[in-house]
Amino acid sequence: MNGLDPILHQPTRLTVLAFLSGCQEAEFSVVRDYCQVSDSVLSKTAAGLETAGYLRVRKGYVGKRPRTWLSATRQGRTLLTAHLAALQQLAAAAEAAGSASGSGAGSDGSESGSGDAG
Amino acid sequence: MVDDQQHEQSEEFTPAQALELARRARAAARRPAPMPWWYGPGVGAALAGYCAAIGQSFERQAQWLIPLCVAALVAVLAAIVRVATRSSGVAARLERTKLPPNVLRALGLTVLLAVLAWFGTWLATGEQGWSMAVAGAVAGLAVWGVIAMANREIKEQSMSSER
Repeated sequence: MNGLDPILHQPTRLTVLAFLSGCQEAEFSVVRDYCQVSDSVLSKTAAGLETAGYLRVRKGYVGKRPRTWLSATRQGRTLLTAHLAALQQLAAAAEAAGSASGSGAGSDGSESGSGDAG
Repeated sequence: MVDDQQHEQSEEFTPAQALELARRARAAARRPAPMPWWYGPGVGAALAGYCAAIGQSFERQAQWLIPLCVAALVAVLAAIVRVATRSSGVAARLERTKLPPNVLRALGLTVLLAVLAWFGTWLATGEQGWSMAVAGAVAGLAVWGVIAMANREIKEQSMSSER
């Protein structure tokens, strides 16, 4: 599938893993607020990514309050990089096709960089 | 908040949109967060305590204490940094960052002030213990000031990026 990762094709999974790849680890509530999803959606997403080996869940305490920390695994970071590279190629190809068709048949209705990833 | 059903439906997006989504998420996670208020005083106090202990080690001819003091300082600083970096909810990755020139200047001034304080006290009292304690106190206060300055810059940066 052109190096695309079907697991990361879903927007929330992609956003969660991309956020976690930008830091060492992040607290559950911070990721939830950034992704603007409910607790249950993030729980499901994190569980899916954890099962696939892309994400690690660590439970701990700050004082007496329980805290859940999420972090991307090395495998998750590597696969995200590969997925983004594949997307970059697709976007570049779509843009090139759009500009080629635009220069060949006028500029009516060409959609640069908007090819479907799936 | 996006509910579960809405979440399941939003499956379609283009490569360009996906790339933009990932870029924004990574940038949000990398955005520097200001340190908690106690970070500057904590680091300053640790440094002052370390210098006072080193001074006492020299004065009492107990050089064997120096490695222990170094280990204690490293342990205390590591604990402070660990708690402080996680206080915002995001633990940043260790990356090479370029310190702004005014922070570098302030750090240079801190070292100079500490050396001057040590020398001045040593001339006045002739005691290593006092000299190191004063140098440590001056360095601790100055480091607190530098951290407060760096923190203010981070806050300004994050406020301007939010606008």
